[in-house]
Amino acid sequence: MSFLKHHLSLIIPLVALLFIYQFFTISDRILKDHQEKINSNYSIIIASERDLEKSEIEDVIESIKDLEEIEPDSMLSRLKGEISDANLALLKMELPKFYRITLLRFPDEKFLDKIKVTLEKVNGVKRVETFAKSHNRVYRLLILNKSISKILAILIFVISFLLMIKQIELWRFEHMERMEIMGLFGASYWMRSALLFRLALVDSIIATAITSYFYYYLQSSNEVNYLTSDLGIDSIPFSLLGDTITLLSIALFISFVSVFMVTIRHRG
Amino acid sequence: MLDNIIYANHLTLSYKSDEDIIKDATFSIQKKDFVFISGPSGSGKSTMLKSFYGALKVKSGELLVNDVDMANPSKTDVSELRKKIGIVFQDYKLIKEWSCEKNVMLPMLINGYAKETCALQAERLLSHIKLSHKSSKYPPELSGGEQQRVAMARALSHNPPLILADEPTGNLDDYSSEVIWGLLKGANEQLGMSIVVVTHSIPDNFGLNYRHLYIEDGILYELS
Repeated sequence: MSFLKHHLSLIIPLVALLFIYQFFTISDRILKDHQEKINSNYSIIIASERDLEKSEIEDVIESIKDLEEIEPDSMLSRLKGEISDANLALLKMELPKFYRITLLRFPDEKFLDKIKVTLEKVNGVKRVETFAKSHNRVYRLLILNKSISKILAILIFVISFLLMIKQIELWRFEHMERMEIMGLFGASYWMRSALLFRLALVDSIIATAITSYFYYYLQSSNEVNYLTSDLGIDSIPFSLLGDTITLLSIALFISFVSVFMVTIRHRG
Repeated sequence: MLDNIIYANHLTLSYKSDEDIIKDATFSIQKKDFVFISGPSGSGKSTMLKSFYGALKVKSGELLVNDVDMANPSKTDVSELRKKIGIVFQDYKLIKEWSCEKNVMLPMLINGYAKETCALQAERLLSHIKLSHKSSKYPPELSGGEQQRVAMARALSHNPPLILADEPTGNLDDYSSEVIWGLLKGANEQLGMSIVVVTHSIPDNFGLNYRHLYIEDGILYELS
């Protein structure tokens, strides 16, 4: 029982830390995925009095992916039968040139406003439509989620780290006699502290296993998938192997740094 | 100088800024010497021994132990010295969570011997001190005498040239004390180790040539 209590005191803050890290990572992945989905269907429309070249737009907007001319035929075909062919030809001549601009990255509203102002200053451009309203509620929700998880991650990281340091201090105190005896026989710092590093290693593995299993369970759960699909998220983006390796690396790094900080403070 | 295992010249020791405990002591201990350091309680016997293994800094003077300058040693110097010597404490200082066998192996493990070699040596020593049957027991399961025998085996395990013993029989019954003295004498006579023992009283009929350093009021005397 005391063995369990002993380890839980380090495992719990480590799990909290890994959990929030993974939550933040998943939020970020969902947001990026959502951005890509919107971005692939997103474009800005320009009406211009003259022909435009991609290079001259690139000069004013760096993140332009493509500039594509929109043929007016599809629009004019709707008018066939209502006006004469001669008038239709005249209208075609009088119409401005329409272009579709696609971007390299998903723009936020501020960026779109800036693009609009910049494009309107280009010689010949009569009108720019950015469709800024298409930034939907789900996207805003995801942004909010990411921002909250970022703040939570920082808070939980600080609290968990302090708890871990406290627990390792207790371990050190508990094993102080053994470490002192080893020191009397000339054991090196690493040899004296080996036990603490071993405990940290075991607890890091356990904490990683718990966190990974939790996210794997979420990913496999039908109920969770049903809820996320409503938000346009196919499934929780979690890679059992890749993310477990990352989580284990983080757990080992943080717990070893904690042990190092405690032992180095009492060195000698 | 070459045969000295411990050399002190005008050695003064004190705890921090307190009064000097050992004042201006000059002496040398040669290889294969068996030396008793005695004196009244609080005279500074154990303090002197502590300075030999770097647990107490030298206030002034010169102190060489196994060719290591202990007047101003680095942490590495102290560690290296401790690896090479054997120490026996009055309160045994065995690791409670380790078996007797592993406790005996400790100095060898620290010195980087292979585990098999350590285990073999521990088995041999435990057999010599008649504790083979308790090799897997933990120190709290042993009597005081048995624990001190294990501590002796630990001090001898890596064949050190010098053994420092602080009141090794202080808490023991007559039989256990006899066993410990026997082991120390054997280490000196048969293995050629230098032995320095801090004690309240030198056993009667010790049966071995020894030197006697006596400390009183911080002054060290050599008694013939």
